[in-house]
Amino acid sequence: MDNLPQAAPLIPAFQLAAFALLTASGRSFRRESVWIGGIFSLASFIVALAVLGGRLLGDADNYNGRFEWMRIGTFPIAMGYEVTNLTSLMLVIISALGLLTSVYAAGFMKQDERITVFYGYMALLQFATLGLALADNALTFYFFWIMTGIGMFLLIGFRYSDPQVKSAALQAFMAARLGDAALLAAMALLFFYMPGHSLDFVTIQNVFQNGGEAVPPGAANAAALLLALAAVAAAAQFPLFAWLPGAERTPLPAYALIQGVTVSAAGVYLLVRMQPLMAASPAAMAALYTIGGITALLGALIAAVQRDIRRILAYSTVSQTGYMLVALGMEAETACIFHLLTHALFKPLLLFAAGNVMQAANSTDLYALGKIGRRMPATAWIFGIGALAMAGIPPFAGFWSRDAIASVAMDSSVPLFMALAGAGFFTALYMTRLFLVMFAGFGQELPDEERSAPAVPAAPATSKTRVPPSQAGGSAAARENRLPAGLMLPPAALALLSVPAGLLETPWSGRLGTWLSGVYEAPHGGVNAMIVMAAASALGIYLGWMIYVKGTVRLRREELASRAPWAVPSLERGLYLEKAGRTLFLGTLITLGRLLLRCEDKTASAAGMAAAQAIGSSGRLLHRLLQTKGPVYGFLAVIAFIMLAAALAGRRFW
Amino acid sequence: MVGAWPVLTLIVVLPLLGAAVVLLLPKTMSRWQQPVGMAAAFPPLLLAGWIYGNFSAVPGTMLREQAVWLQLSFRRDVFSTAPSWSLELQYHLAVDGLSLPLLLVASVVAAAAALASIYIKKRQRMFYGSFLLLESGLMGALLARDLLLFFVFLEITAAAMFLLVGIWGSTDRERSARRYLLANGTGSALLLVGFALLIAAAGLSGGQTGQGPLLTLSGSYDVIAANLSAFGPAPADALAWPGGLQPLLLTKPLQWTIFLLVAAGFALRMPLFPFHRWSIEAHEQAPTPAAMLLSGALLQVGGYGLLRYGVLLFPEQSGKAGAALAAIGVVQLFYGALLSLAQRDLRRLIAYASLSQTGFVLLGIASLNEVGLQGAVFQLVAQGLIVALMLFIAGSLQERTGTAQLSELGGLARPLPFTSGILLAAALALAGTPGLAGFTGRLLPLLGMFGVMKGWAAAAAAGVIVSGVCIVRGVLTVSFGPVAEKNAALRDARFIEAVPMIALLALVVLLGIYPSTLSDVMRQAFAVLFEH
Repeated sequence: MDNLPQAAPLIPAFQLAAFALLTASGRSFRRESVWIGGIFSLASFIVALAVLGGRLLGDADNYNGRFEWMRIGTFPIAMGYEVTNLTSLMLVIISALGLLTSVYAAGFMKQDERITVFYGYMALLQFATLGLALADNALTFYFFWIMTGIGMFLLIGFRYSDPQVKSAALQAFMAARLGDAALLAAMALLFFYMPGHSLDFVTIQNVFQNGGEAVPPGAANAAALLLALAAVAAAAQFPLFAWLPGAERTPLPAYALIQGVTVSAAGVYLLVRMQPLMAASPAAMAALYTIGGITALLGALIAAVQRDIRRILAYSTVSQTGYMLVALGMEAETACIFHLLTHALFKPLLLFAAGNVMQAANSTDLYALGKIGRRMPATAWIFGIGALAMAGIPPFAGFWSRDAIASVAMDSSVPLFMALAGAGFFTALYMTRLFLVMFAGFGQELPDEERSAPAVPAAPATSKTRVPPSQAGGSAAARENRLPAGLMLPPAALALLSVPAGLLETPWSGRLGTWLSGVYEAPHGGVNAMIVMAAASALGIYLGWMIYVKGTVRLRREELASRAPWAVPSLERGLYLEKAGRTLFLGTLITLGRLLLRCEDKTASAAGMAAAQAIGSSGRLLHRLLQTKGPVYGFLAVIAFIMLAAALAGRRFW
Repeated sequence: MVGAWPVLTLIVVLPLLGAAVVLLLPKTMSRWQQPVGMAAAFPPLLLAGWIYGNFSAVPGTMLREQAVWLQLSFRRDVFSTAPSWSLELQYHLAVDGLSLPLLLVASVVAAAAALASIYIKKRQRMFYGSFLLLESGLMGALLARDLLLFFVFLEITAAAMFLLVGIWGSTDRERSARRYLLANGTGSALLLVGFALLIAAAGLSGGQTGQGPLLTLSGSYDVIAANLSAFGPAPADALAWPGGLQPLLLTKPLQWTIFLLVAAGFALRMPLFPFHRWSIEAHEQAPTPAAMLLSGALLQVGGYGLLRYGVLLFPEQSGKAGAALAAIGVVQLFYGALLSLAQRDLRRLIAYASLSQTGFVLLGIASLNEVGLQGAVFQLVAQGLIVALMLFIAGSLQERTGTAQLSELGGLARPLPFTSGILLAAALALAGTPGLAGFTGRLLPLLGMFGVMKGWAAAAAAGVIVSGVCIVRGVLTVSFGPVAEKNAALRDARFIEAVPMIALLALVVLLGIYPSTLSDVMRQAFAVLFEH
């Protein structure tokens, strides 16, 4: 029991081993790859559970291990890991989700001829995310943080032959680089200002909990703001959220893993580890809760008009991560981690269940599915549980965790609380819409040709092995009992967990916070917040019912379009922010590059011409001199040389 | 056993022997030209590996091979009290913590480039002759410890590269070869003047012979380094030498002149912004092996020269020029990346991306602290391996598709999954992915910079975005998206192409995961600088 924490590095190491094995085998071993990925994920999960179990059973000492990565002069740069209650919880969440996605992908990606590559990339992403959770210092964290970005980039670009996938991958890469630059600058600042160049989280926490005098306030402020920027880029927050919904063509199991844990681990967990530093900078905290509040509201609003199921859920992730950022800005880490945990349960659940539906109906368009709920009742039930959890209906998990955030917000700022309540309202509204339209077939619109054409699992690379797609809108062939158990088990397991998980921490007990921080934490109380949030959710569901079932409130998508023609297209494209990143940022850079290139071409040809002319004319001059007065100049040159030599040789006689 | 052999001399001479063998092969054995030429490129790699295996970071134990090459004595008559003096040209090779990493990368890249020469079809005899001559010059330049010897080796590389670009290059080869020669010739001229002044001002060493004291004027690096550090911050009285034989007084302005001449000479060769144009054209036109050596070894020699003959000899001047160097570094970082985004040709794109990455080397040098300088060397090594790998892949794609135009490539991941995978990995490495070598090469210079110049460091951190995006965007253009009809049936890498690709990538991974393999060797390289 005592050496359990020492086994913690095994958890990411298993994934690294899986990645190495799968990458080495290229595209062969298609069937075996599923087992390799699955077994290594299972191993990680078991060890993570054991580590968590050890901590729950009272092994309360934090464990810390490190090794020297490289040495500069006399100064060592170390990589290290740390096992605390928080990290062990994160490890379990990540590895559990990794295991579930591995199981789900076995069924979902069966037809793909690059399934080996897929499992390799998944192992890489899990390795990076697990390493992130274990990191004990900022450098190690940074190492895994960038690797997480690369893993996401690879998975987003998995179906490479699609031009849209190509630009989505590039967009994700750009967002990751932006965060990378910010985090790098923040880390370098800390490296130089922290006493003893120490970058480990414990020292950073100690320094800033004691008032942070050791670090100049300007540097601390700058570092905190840079960290906030990195988190905003990684967690897909306003105005940098576009890359996540833009990546809708990522293979669905990978999308579930990314939305479930990676985004929040990279964006939110970063700030949790750096909390004391963040708290030392009021500006950074204000930026966090402002951006979080805006994103929560905006994401929910945008999600309400999307018609691609994957994009609805992606915007919902954006919105929910906004809640977590608000919690961080309010110094409520417990609530943040709690929401991270519950969101990691119900978001993958929703994506898995939706994936089953989309695969059965061979379309990702919300309006092209028909009354599929009748043919897939179990999936509808599972999805319903997830939807209720997400919409924040008690007693499901999402209610408790969101309430924890809302009650803190209520105490400190009314506009912020209003934004959160509004976000809750829209969340309930779009979840109702999603459920009613998708499963019950209410509020049908004409299928969008563009969206219903490319079917979910149809990677172009698989065209040879693909099963012939069922006919358009043609859920006729779709039957739930044809789905393999591997596709049903993961969402069902998550649905089962969605109810009790909410009771980890209730308004009346601060058990999770106490356990996480090791210090007694008072329950957050707040009946008012609870009532308002539950009422907002209920109102959202009621309005959804009125719009989509009764039709008494005329606010359907197409009806909205006739009243405010600007609203739907602008919201559907994420306030045009999706394109803005590419056109504004990359476009400017390319234009600038072309301009500079033209200047360079001009200068270079001018310089080349001048040099050529200079050489040519001097050559001609010499030629002419030698031709006409050759002997004279030759003689002069010899004389000059002799004089020079004599001058040098006779120097000491002068 | 092996230790008794003149290993360093062998590194320089064996490629030359190989060149001689290739050139002297009888006509009837012409099919042996290629295997012999390729094989002759490998001994430096093996010997450099041997040195690495036996290297100890303790100063004073380094390998050294020394002989007097040429001595001109000017003896005074016996009645005079003035000492005799002589002009000495030394043959002096040595290896230390600064040259060894670069020696390793140059020999690795040379071996990989030799394998890349399978694409060369015409005039193979002459090609391998020039190629091996170039390799020998490279190794010699990295090992030489005498200024004039270094210069001779440097000129050998320039001449050989001129031939390689001018004869085996693509359509516009002659013009770009001329430009190459022009730029390098100018650089050499500056360097020669700088070196001549340096020898005249600081190359004097004293000794005793039977007939009285003997003064020797030589280009020995050790003598010059010792003299410069003895003159230190304030130039001592050169007339302290009996008879006042010092040809030139080492004054402050003279130090600055020499430093600027040397720095400018290497800046033209490395190349630094704004003298990079010849390098871009050479990358585009040169045959694949030559292009690999250009970015994977010659650039490193330039950086090595800047470090050894600029920074280590003139730390004070380097410190004052630090801000200017940092400015050039940041400008180059952005400029290279922006222009790389605007390219239509894959090889030019890689060349500009490489230019952009060289910005990190300059930043590391500019920081002038241990972290930054080690980072600069690390970046030189990482960049050499990665860019050579990318140019090799570009060459193999060009061999298959017949073009390097980005508009005609695209979607190549489908027909060429292996090659595209390696290309993507290389691009990610260049963009600074952790676990691959580029990460350390980028991290250390920036950490070093933040200690001394915050503003430039912040600008450079922003440069991380563009410098990463430009190369990954280029690679996505090549391998992602729909594949063109005519490229759909291409065959993936052959075994002889896969070997260097995997070997280079393996080294990139090794350095990324465990940078200590290199940083332990480098540790003593700059110790001299920080003792004072």
